[in-house]
Amino acid sequence: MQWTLSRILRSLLTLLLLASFTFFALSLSADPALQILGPDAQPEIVQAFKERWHLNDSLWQRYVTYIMGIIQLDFGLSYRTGAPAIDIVMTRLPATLALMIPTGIASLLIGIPVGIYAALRQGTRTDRLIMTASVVGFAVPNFLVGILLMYLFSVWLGWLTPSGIISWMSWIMPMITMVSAEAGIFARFTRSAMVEILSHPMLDTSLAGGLNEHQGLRHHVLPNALIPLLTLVGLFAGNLIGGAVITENIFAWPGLGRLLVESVAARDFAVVQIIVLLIGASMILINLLVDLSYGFIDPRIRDTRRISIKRNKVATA
Amino acid sequence: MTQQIISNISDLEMAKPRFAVSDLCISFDGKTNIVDQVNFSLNKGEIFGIVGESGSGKSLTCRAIMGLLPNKATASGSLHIDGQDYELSNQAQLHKIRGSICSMIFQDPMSALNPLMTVEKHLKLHLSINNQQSSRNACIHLLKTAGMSNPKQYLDAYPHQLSGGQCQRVAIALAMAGKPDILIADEPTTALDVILQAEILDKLTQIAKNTGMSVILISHDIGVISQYCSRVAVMYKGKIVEQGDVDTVFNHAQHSYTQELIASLSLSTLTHLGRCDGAPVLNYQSVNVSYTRPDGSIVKAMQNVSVNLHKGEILGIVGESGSGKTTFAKIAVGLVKPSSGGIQFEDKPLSFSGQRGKKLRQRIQYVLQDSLGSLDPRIDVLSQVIEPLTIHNVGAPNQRRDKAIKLLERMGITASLFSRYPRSLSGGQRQRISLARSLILQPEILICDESVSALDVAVQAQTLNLLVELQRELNLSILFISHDLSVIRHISDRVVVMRFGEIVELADTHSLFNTPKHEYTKSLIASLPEFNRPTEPTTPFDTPDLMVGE
Repeated sequence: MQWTLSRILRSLLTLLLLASFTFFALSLSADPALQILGPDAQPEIVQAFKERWHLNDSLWQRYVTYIMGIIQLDFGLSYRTGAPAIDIVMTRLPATLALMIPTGIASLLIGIPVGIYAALRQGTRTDRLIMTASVVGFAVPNFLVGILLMYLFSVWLGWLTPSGIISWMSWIMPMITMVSAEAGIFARFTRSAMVEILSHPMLDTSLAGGLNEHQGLRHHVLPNALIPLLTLVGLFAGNLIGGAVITENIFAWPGLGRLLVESVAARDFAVVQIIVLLIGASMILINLLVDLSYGFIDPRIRDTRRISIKRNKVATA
Repeated sequence: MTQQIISNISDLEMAKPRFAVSDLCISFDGKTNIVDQVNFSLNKGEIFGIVGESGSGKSLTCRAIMGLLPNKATASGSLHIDGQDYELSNQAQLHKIRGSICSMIFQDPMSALNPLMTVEKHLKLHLSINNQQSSRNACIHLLKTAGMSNPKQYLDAYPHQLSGGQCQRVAIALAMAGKPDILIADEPTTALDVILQAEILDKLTQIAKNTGMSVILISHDIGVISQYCSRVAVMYKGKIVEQGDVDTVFNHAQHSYTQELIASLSLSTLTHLGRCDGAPVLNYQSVNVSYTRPDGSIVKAMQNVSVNLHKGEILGIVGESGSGKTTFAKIAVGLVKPSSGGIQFEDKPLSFSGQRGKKLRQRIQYVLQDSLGSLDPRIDVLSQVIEPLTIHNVGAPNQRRDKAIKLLERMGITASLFSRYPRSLSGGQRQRISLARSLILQPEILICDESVSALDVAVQAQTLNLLVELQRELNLSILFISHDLSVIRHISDRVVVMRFGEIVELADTHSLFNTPKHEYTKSLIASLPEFNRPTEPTTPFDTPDLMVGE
């Protein structure tokens, strides 16, 4: 319990650091007034704009206002539209999740079984073929895969519309683009985790005691192999929001990734800040969940944590 | 009359082998046989030993019987169990006998169990798979059979919470879950200390006696085999070179390899050379060392240790793993700093800083257990031995090569091996090269940390022999660390017995082994497997120059 609490506090601290860093990096990068009003804008208008958005205040003042705002869940207004930035972001979030969640599920459903299959045929031609395919899958950049798919299905065959969300068919190309990479990573990782566990002596013990290979796999190999995989799944899940920037831009997907690129180009600080915070927060949250679940799954880690807390108690007492 | 006939018949039944392996061959490439024409048989309730060095094929033989050969290996031959015949070439078919007829335990108990499952889950899984009642009580009963005292409290424990000995008992319980007729024990106690070894092997013997289960005991330790087995097969290079009852095989060894094995056991002939009268070179003064583990618990690796290493002495340090032996050695080379207390080298505090410190490094050398790990895999043998001279800038550069060659030849490494890389040498050769790397600097103190423990007994004996010869020639002081009492007894002038970081007993070798004072030392010595030594031991150590000290 104490471990969980300290872990949560640390997560909040990380989030604060992230928010501060984003704020300063953006504030120092350019003047939003000139960016939005254009270089030829009259000085009075620029001045009025700065008044309106408190851009004349000192950096520290703005920082404090900004952080206080975050604490009260007030993320400010968009320079471009004047609407609350959070609303703009929230209207785009569903599209991103609608793309990324199915992508994640499909990648797991393809990657893990393929990895297991390859590990069980370790060293054979099938194994090498699968592993080559998975390397190609994640080594070829998404923008290249996306453009090739678009050329094939939209330009050449004319089967699919190249951009936006029109029907369920719109999901096909973006998903293939990302699943090819993610499933490849999952497959490789699953395979190497499996191969390691497959040579563990506990398997000999159980087979010698009468288990057949299928039972050995189910009771011993898979549970142990899936532990390291959890980290990878966490990494993907933490990237749900920010992971599709490139793909969204290629296929003109009306999601957060595209909004991020647009907002950065326009120096729409509030929007950029929210998106960066969201990406960071989801990464931190998922990491926290993964860490917590390790304790549930692996008794060794549970014990280590228990003992370290005991030591802290002794030290403070 | 009828009674007698019946009893005769049952005698016959008993005498008839219930388990026989015939013409077992194992091959990895389909051409050369790694295991060749192995035949042996087992009676009911018998403990049958297989002895041989690592790589002699003893483990492969047993894996073939269990149908657990590695994928690339193919086997031929047949297995006869209680009137049933099985083809060993059909490894998949052997699944039927695993668990219920034949079961096996392995060398490393700490990794024999699934780290994510409690002891109870393990037991229940194995019980239910073998169609036995899998209640909590059945689990407790099974653990009790395997010699676990107070089994109830361990049911909910995870493997990492158990000691090596407890893990091995759980592994035995798992192997017993299907009530097998035959249990194969592949080096079951090699990873454990002698006291646990005795407990576990006694338990196996008792189980065999009570249940009529036959045991195949594989070991490299001839003492273990001679104490616990009725019959033995000696394996060498994939063949059984000798087979028969233990007394006959060991007392009238026919094959040269068996003779060598037995000779290497007579290590104790070279004890007590009594050379602890030199000036102290290394002086531990109430040294304490404590570590903080990653989990936060504090380990006292050394507690109040005071001892002197004298000039020209071999000081043996013995103890089970975790007793602080290695810390003992690491302090002497500055790899571990004492938390309190001090260590003096020739009456000056030991310090490795500055120019004098560098000089000191040259004078204190360290030989590790893992010879493959301690040599650079990409440098040939000769250059490995020249390297220390270059590092310490000893002698003229053009003479270093000759010096290295001379030393290597003295150590029995022939010129044909000079251009080889560590991987293509045998363990014994590699360890001699590690030794040469240390000795070429003409150190005054040599620290051997389990330096011969990874070697097979015969090679171990040769290496020890060489070490003692060199020690005499160079008047070296040696800190010799080992968990193996017989090695310690063979080589040391004085012995330090360590436990939980403390010195339990310190005495000269002769009195320590003959009149041990501390209870722990007594139980260590009592647990050593007894070997009925042949009347006329043929020992390679009876060389005159070695016996000068006596």
